[in-house]
Amino acid sequence: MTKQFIIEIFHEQLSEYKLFVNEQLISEGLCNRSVELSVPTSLVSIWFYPWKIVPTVRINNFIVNTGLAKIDLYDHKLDISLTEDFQEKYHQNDIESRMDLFYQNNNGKNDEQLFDEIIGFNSHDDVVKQIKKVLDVR
Amino acid sequence: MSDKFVFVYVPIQTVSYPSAAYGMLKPITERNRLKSELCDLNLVLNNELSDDEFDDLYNWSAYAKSNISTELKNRVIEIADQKLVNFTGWLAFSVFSFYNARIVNLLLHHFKGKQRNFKILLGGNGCSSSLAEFDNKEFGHYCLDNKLCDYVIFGEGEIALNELLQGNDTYPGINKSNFQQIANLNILEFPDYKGIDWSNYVDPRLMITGSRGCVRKCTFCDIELTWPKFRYRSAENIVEEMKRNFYETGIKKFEFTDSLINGSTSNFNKFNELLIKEKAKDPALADIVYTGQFICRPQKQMPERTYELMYNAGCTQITVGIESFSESIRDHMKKKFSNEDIDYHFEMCGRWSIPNVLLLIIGYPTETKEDHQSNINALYKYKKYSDMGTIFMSRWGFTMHIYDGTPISAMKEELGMQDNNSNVHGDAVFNWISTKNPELDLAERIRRRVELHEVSHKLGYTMPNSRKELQTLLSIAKDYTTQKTLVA
Repeated sequence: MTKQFIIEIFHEQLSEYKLFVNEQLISEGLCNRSVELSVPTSLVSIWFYPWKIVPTVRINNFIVNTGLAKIDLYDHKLDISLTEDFQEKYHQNDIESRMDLFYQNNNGKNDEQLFDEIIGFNSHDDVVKQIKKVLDVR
Repeated sequence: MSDKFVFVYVPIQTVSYPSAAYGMLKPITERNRLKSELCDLNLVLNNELSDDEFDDLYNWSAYAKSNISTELKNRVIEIADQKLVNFTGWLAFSVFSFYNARIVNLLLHHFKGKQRNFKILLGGNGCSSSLAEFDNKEFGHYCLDNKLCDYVIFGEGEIALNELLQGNDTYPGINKSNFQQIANLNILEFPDYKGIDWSNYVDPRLMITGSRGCVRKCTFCDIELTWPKFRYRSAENIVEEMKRNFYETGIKKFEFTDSLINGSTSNFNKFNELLIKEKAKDPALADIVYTGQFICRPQKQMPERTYELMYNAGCTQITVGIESFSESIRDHMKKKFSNEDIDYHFEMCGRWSIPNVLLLIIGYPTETKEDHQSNINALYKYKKYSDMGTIFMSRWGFTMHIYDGTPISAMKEELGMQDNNSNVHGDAVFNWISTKNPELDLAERIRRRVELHEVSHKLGYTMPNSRKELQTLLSIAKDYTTQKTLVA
């Protein structure tokens, strides 16, 4: 079964929209500040009016960071690829973005200690095994 | 040359940004014609010690290690000596919590009897902590009684410090625990963060205080000892401080020091509304963001409008003490929110893009296997919030340890608490057991902690500082099993 997504875009000035799914026009109309659309996994384009506004995008009840969601934002529309693993990809992009922000030291090399202190996305299997061994936990 | 007032920060505190004391007290020292300086020994030691040395220092400071080597102590003193050369004025140690007490004690013993031209002052919550290894006295009194320092300010520092610098050492809170809580926080001067070299910090931010005290009395928390009453500043006053300090420093990130930013929901809403208005008036303010600690509340107290205001005002992160996903555990803790309230809170934070740092406690004295399973189940249930960044990170900590002064330490009889005479780490009682829940011994608590780490990692939850925390747990586990072997 194809996964459905609820996309909501909103902006103080938003007044018209057009929804394209896999390049097919599905719906269009007037709206007042926001519009909520149900779409399947697909390549989605939402055209908006007036142009040059930057609408906020909510997908499945989460306001998304357009960078992490890989949304291509233009003056007149936004494009987004909605895949089955959208949520997982979003998370992966989030971790990578946090790494770009904090992970590098002055030499441009990865700083493991900083990564653990600020981001913390490691299994630390070595320490876990030692603890289990000490406690004799199977 | 004027006398100096040197603020000293010691481990363990975050090294990502400087803590609040310098900025908050600088207006008072400067009013008294003292040149303020910040010596962030916490940062210096973090930079100059090896990772292993700093880990040792961290574990020792956190009472998760009974001692550190003489070599390491000497190295700490040597580094401190390089930074704290003799001068005329005041040397003020920020004893932010009892985690700072051991290092401050080490340095004070080093200074004792030495020729110095400065007076030594201690301040901060840690001065009021009663610690077994310091003769069961409040740390500040231990230092005074042993002539390790000249003055201690107990409780809030703003008024008492001004009095002390003007020669009045009998003001309540100076060298006595009889401090008086400041009734009106609006009278305090705005903090002054000029003079800090922000390039030393990886995540600079300005600390700001909107309130002191808490509206809850959670069993594991001792905040009531410091601030018996919940006091808060007016929304107008807080926004004015943000504007002033942004214009002076250019720093756009603010972190509230409050135990909770939504203690007064009406004032919190007003603050967000005002900040939104100010941003609309001056586009230079548009990028101001804030973070702070927050309590999960029922929907009727936190309508969606509040979350929307937070989003529009620039709230970019909240730290929430969920503590446990088991309702019965939270009831015992007196957290006063339900599982439904958590569901609602996460839903609203997702809808309004407010990332959460979750604080959790593993192995609360009444925690059963079913309660532990509730924590595991919650990780699966809320995975989507982790994936989408609503749960930005989770902090599982060192397992439940008990300190004197917290309400739960007074519930020993009710819970059948015994510490098994095995308080190997000093004041943080890790190795307690409740005769009412005997299967939850220290080994079981660590096992649950490790299991939650593994499940969290498998599901993609981020857990900062987890290596350090796990290494501390390893150290505790080793001491525990060694002791059991010795007893056997």
